[in-house]
Amino acid sequence: MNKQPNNTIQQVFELIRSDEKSRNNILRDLYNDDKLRSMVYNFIQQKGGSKEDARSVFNFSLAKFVKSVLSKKDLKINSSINQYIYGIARFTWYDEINQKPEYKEFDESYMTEIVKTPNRLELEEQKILLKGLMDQLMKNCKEVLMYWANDFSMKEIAEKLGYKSFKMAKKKKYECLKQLTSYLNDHPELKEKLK
Amino acid sequence: MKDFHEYIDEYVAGKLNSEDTKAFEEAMKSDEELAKVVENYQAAKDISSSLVEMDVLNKLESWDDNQSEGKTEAEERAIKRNNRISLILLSLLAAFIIGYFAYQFITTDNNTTEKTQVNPLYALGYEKPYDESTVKSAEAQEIDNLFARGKYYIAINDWENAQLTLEEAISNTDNKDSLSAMHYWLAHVFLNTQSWKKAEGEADEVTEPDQKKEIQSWLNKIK
Repeated sequence: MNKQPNNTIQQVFELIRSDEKSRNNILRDLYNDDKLRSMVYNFIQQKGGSKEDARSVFNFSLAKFVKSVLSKKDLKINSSINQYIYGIARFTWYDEINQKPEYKEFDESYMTEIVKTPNRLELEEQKILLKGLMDQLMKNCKEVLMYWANDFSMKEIAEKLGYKSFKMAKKKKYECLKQLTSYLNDHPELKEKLK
Repeated sequence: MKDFHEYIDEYVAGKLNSEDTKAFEEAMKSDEELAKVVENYQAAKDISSSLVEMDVLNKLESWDDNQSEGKTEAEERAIKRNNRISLILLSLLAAFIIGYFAYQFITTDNNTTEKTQVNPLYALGYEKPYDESTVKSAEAQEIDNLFARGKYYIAINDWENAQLTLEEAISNTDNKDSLSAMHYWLAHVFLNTQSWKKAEGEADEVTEPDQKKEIQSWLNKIK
């Protein structure tokens, strides 16, 4: 990852948690990291996966990495970021092919939780189901709800998204929740499928 | 509690006291939107929790699409780098061309300035002497007569050759009238090169009164 020489792991975490632009910059660096990509691709293809599987697992692992950084404030990585993402990819693929290897370097229960809730196929399905919602939700609503659901305080959300006070952030969150609720009421099948 | 929506998280988490809980539930009876948000709270939170993953996946897939269109990030970077190099080369070329023309302009301008400086007399109405018969000769080398050739060089503003030729003519002539005329023309060469003392010296050698007077007149004006 290009950013690593200049940023410590904690700095990368902070950038991911700070705002969308910084998050995307880190994401782009990881996406363009040929070494990381070839590690994941080689592993998946050696374990019987296709190139398309490898691409999908690679993307899924990056998404899960970002998600774990956002949702787990006390996340600690003893190895490098690349090793952690590679670990997510291996957990994901072994879970899908019903193998259970031992990983001493990772918190196995947390890694299992990360890759299984939702897992790759469920997430792909959710993505398709919620495409309409993603298109309809206002951009700042997506950010507010995303931070809220990942247990950021209203004060933190106000600071990150530039609201004058946490009360303003709360008001915005309520508006966004109403928008999301309205969408769910218009698409009752979604709630059933996402249960 | 007035803004009940501010307490949704606390209500759902069971963190409100009994009095506030009762007030919140009363509010839901009259506020349908609030009630619907509470009803869909968990589903909304689950979906919102996955928004980041979906957002990231969408972004990555759009980058994948760019790759499949044949433009990988590395290629894009390479294209940008090449474009930058081309831009730099074009800038250098443009700078060279501009510099060249600027140099030409400046040097031409300097020459013009020099000429203006060499010929301050022209601003005073001075005109160099002109011998039509010599000017008609196409090339200086075709003019056998040194005096005539000297006058030709004056006509084309070749002051260095004019001086050398006229000085040679003077050294080869014993005829007083011719010598006076040659000194007169040579004096004009020195007037044009701002060699005032030399012009004065040549004027002293001119014996024809009007010509002598003319040279001295210009020298006086320039002083």
